[in-house]
Amino acid sequence: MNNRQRITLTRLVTGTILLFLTLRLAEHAMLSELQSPPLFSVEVDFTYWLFRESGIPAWIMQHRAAAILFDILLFSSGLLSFALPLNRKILAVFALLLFLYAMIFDLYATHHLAQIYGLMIVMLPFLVGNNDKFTLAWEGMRYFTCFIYFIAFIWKTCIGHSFYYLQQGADTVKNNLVYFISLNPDSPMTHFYEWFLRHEWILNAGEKGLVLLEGIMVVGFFTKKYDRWLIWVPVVIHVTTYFFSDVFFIELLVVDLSFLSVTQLDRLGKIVSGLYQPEKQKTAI
Amino acid sequence: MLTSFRKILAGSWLGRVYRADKILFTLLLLFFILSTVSNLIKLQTTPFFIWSMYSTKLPQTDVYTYYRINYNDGNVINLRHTWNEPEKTLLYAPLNVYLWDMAHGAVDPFRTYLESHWLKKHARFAGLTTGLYVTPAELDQYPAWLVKYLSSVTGAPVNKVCVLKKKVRFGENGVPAEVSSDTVLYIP
Repeated sequence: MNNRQRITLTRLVTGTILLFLTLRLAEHAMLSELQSPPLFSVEVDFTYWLFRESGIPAWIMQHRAAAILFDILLFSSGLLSFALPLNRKILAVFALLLFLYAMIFDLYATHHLAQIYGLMIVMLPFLVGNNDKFTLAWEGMRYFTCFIYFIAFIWKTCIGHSFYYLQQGADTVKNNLVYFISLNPDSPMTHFYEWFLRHEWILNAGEKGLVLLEGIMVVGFFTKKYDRWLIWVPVVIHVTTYFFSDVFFIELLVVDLSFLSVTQLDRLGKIVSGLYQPEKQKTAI
Repeated sequence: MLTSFRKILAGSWLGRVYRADKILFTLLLLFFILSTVSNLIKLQTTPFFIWSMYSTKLPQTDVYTYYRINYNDGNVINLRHTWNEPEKTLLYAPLNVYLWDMAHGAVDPFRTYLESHWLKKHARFAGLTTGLYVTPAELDQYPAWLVKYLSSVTGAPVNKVCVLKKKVRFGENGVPAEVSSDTVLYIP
């Protein structure tokens, strides 16, 4: 990957993250908007145990000025990362603040949401300086994306066995959408869901189809020949679960950007045009 | 056969990383190994996440539960869009925790797990676990926090909150019919 491609990729990733953070800002989900929540959950995750014991999350949440400053720094470092995509110091600050934000949010939401995990790790390859090594690290993100979906497939088929419960699809819709359907009885979407609930076999078959799609991602470990199709698998999965499970796993799609080839980055670079650093610079700062 | 295996390995992504940078190779290999191990032993240690969502069979039931939050007089919190999930999580997940804990003697079940199970195997860490569970004092702060957070979500002062636990049953036509409605939290 050359500088131009790296700039395009960095801007795509940081731009996507900033979009999700802006949505969270509108959703009253940034740290300064949480109003110092008293309840939390560390679950059985030693990183969260240590994090909680450090006193950092409690201190930030109990001091409103600190929470506001944190959010300002998070957004500023994100915007600077977008504007100066080869400046690794700024990217490192953004990556760290993003990681901390995700941990603090999950801690006080009392539920560790998997969709935010992508935001926690996607910036890590961008800390690698040399473009050749960065390319290898980013390729690792592609393999990790294949890993995420394939291991989710293994969980459903070999560990948790939910794949063999034929009502899982319909039950998921009822469980997750009972809130929306009950509070919005006259909404067109409610009528849409009610139609599917009258034809539960479609929901159940669809759920199995999504699990198999997760399994298909294993192909990415062995060849890149099908990357132009594999990139759409997580998109299909998360757009479907957006509507039928009422979960916003679309945030996880940030790691899906690892399937973009350098040719595609060149094409996108022409659309996401901006100031390019001189080609002679072989490495990020 | 060994030669062709070594050739495949050398040409693989990990082989290329190994030749380019041994430290990067070690970090990446460790990340993948620890991520795999975390999933196999079913123990998450961030950033080695386990991806087990929706992997367990849902309990068979014909009654489904949701919480309806009413505020002031006659207003209902109705987060209609899936992109509202962060806000929805902040409203309903701690609410679940609060209601469960209050129904069980204001004791955080995680404290019960720590004291009756984990600390029995790791007694030397007893002093380090006191901050890991919600205390009764923190539970007491929850209602006031809920009012404050709702005020910020609605953009208007909230001075009365009533949380109803609704149970519904889906009919053959896909339409839910209410089975019961109980007030589980009232903040005057």
